[in-house]
Amino acid sequence: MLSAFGSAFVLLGLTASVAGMITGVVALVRGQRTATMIQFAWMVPLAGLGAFAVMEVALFRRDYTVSFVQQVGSETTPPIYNFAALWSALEGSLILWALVLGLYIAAVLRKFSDRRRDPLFGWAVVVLLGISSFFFGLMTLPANPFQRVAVAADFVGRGPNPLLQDHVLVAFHPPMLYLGYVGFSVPFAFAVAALITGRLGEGWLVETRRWTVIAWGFLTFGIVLGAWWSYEVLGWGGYWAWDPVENASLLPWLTGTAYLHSVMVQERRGMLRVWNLSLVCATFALTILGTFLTRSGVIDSVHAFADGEVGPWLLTFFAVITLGSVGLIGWRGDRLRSPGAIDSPLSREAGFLANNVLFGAMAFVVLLGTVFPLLAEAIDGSRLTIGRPYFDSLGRPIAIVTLFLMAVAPVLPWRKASTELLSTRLFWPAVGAVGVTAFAVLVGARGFWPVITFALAGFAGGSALRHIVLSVRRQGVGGLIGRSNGGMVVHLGVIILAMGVAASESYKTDRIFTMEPGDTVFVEEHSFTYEGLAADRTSRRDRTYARVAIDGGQVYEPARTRYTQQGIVVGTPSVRPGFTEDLYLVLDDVPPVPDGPIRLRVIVRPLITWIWAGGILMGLGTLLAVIPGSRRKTRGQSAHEVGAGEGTPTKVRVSAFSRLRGLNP
Amino acid sequence: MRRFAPGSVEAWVFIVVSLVALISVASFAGGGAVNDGERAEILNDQFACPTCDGQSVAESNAAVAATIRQFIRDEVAAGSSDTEIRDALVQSYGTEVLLNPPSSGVATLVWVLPVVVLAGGAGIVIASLTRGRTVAAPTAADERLVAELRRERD
Amino acid sequence: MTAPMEQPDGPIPEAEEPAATSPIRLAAAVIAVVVVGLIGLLALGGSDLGAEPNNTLGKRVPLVQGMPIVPGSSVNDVGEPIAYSIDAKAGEWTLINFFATWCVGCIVEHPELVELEAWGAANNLGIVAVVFDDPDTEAITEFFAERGGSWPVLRSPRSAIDFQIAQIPESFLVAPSGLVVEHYIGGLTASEVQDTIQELTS
Repeated sequence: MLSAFGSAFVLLGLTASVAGMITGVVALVRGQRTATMIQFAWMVPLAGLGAFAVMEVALFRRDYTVSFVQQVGSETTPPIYNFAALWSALEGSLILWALVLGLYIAAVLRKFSDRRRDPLFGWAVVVLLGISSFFFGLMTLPANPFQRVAVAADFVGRGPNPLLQDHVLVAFHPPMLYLGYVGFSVPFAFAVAALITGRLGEGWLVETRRWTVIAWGFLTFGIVLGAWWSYEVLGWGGYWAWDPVENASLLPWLTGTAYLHSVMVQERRGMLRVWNLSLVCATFALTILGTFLTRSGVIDSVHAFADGEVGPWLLTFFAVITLGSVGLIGWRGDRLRSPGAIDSPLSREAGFLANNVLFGAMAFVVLLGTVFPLLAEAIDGSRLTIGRPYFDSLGRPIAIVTLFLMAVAPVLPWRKASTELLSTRLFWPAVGAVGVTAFAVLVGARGFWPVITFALAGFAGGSALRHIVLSVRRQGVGGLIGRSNGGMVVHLGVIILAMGVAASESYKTDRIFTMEPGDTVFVEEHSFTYEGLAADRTSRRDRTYARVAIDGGQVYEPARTRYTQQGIVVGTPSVRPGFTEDLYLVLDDVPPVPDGPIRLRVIVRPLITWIWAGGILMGLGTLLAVIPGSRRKTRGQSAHEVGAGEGTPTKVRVSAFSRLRGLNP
Repeated sequence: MRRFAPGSVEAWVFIVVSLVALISVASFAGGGAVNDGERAEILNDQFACPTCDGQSVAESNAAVAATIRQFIRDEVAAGSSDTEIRDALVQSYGTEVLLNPPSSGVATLVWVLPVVVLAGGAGIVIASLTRGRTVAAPTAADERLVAELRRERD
Repeated sequence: MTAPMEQPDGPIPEAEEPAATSPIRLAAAVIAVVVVGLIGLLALGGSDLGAEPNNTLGKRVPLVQGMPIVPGSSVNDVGEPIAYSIDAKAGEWTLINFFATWCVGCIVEHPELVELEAWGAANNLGIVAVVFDDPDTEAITEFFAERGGSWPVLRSPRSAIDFQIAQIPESFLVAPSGLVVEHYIGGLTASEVQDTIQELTS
């Protein structure tokens, strides 16, 4: 019954998307109204919601006649993980993808409801419907979650992968990531629409600016939550392994971040049109590439969610998107000539350009490192592994220069800066750099990379704080909202995160001990006393845990948990988080005899909580950035008009910025 | 006091000198491995655990990672050089055991290409900067185009 | 810096160039080629980069040698321990067993090895054990005292690397010629080893 309902919704989604796309193209080519397309388009969110709801009902009713429920459902899964089981395997995560895409389509239709006759909007909807056709198509052909299957009389559901029912972050990380991935469909759709209609000014870009920021915020938050989940669940004491799947989520983040910065150059100066279009298309294409890498199993990865059947489909879709975008940009190339030029290397636009070079280079490094083993094997059959040392040695210098830029670029005015101006504006941030470095060295920080990271973090943090303080002094609480103010809060988040990464990578201690009950070991001035082994057992899992007292006080319980239905043993670390350091305990082996020795791994990582805090601050800053700022009111001119590059004297345009930075107090 | 006024040259010199001093003191004081344990830890980060898809020997909880850690500890204690340890592991597990791709053969590309791309990107930016400075005054043809475009837009 | 330019604000097309050599089209073409290459690589590449078979199989056995650590397990006529070297065992079948006291599979496997030792005395098969990641010599001595077995037990950390041990218990059967002929992962039975030897000697 439920499988029939679910299939009906999927079919509705597919039909509505394809029909809407066709009627839309016909109407747009003939110059007619696109009302039919819009009616079809409204059915897509409906279909997504319907499919999602049916699958959740099926999961909660344990309706094993639905193929996907047979795969991941179980009587014993607790409600929250049962809810999250929808995205614990491929077919279900496609439902989530379709739902999120449907919601974005609904939002676009509502937001632009007064622009129905505008072909730019029309083509954008066509592109969005094209994307949703693909995902609903996947659900009807190679990865149907609602297949009706027979149930054996003694069938017992196995539930989702144990790693995906071990921590509450599983309920949030994938949806956030998908909200980010899918969110980039909207700017992509408008970019393609701009290319098709030939309206290549700043219009499309201004329309989708806030959408891009929102998608970026979700993606950022999703990535940080994923790192956090990995740290809390996987038990190797780290949070980022440069695994292909992690890299795949980082790639669109890097190009998306580059775009968020370079877009401002185009809005302000009308330059970088081709570049921005390329970045938007690349970002969306990379989200698809990431999904392909996650799902096809073409590259080895510890994220064992591979499912071969959709691989060729995703790769074909990636090919269509990239080649289509490149073709369109090449076709419109002549209309895309950059109309302006940069006056001075000491200008904000030059700063944004440098940012783009760095982010582009980093994206290239990550992509190259991810696919290079395949390339090397194809060239001469050599088998290589590209891992952390490679990404570290190339990523570190790029990150350092980026931090430096984060300090200098925000104080630069558009067009041209004088050295006196820089000297004034950067003075206190530089004092901050000295202060932070001195403090770090005093408390024992050593080594070139971490210390220079702290120094530049102090510099960049000072610069961001300076901006925030000045604008709050000028505008009160209003000085925290709007794009540039929110952006500076995001910068603060990045800086805190960078310090967390530098400290936790450089100063970690990792020891393994064989301990008998009553033994005490010391790591970094903390004592760890093994009190004994204990177990608790439910119908779902057998958990064996070691009781370890830290510093003679609170007892922590690193465990090994056997999930009975899957027969899989999962290690569950136990973490004592702290502002200055985390103590991370892993039970490596359960002894064969009850009072035998355990192997306990003790990892001490300083400042690791700063990474999560920085990520949360980045999310918060993104929220502040999408609240409309008050800048527009004071200028009495919409950003749209400015972006179109009409002949407004530069002085007037920059004045609001200058005042913000306290140039003329 | 006036000499050290915010933004004065003296103040900047002071800032730069103290930063350079702090960073160099911290780098030289803490750089490099001081004992066998640290040397082994640094080496552990350089090798992939052969059975765990790209995790390093240091990170992995797998038994084979423990073995390689033990091997590295023993070899370091026995005074083997980093190269000897590296060669021994490559001999057994193949070049895949190196997390840091070698800088010979086809693997050179993975190091060279990013530098080429970064240099190319920086080159384009610098070219656009210099181009900006040498743009000539608009010609009559330019003015005509602008006028046309503006008419179109209105 | 340089003198400010006389440049009206807003978009100014650059000096006209022939469209065919447009740098944007050139760049688009280059990128298209790179993308096609990437797609080809992803479509055709990805042959299994996963685990390879153990590369000692069929080759000459790597050197295994050391002083036995369990007292009494390998002694000369007057009761002094003698150094073990696999090179001295040419002409015999040898089973090299990697184990640890913390390994449950090894405890399960142990009686089979004891059985094999008894059988081997008459069938030209010797056993040697190599300790895998287990520093506690006392526990190992107890392990043998409790469960039987008097074959030499060595510490040979290099061997675990040479044999690419991943998941103990693992054992390797070495033919009298010195070639590694079989690899047992996750626990062996006495009969499967006996069958292999009989099959290869007949």
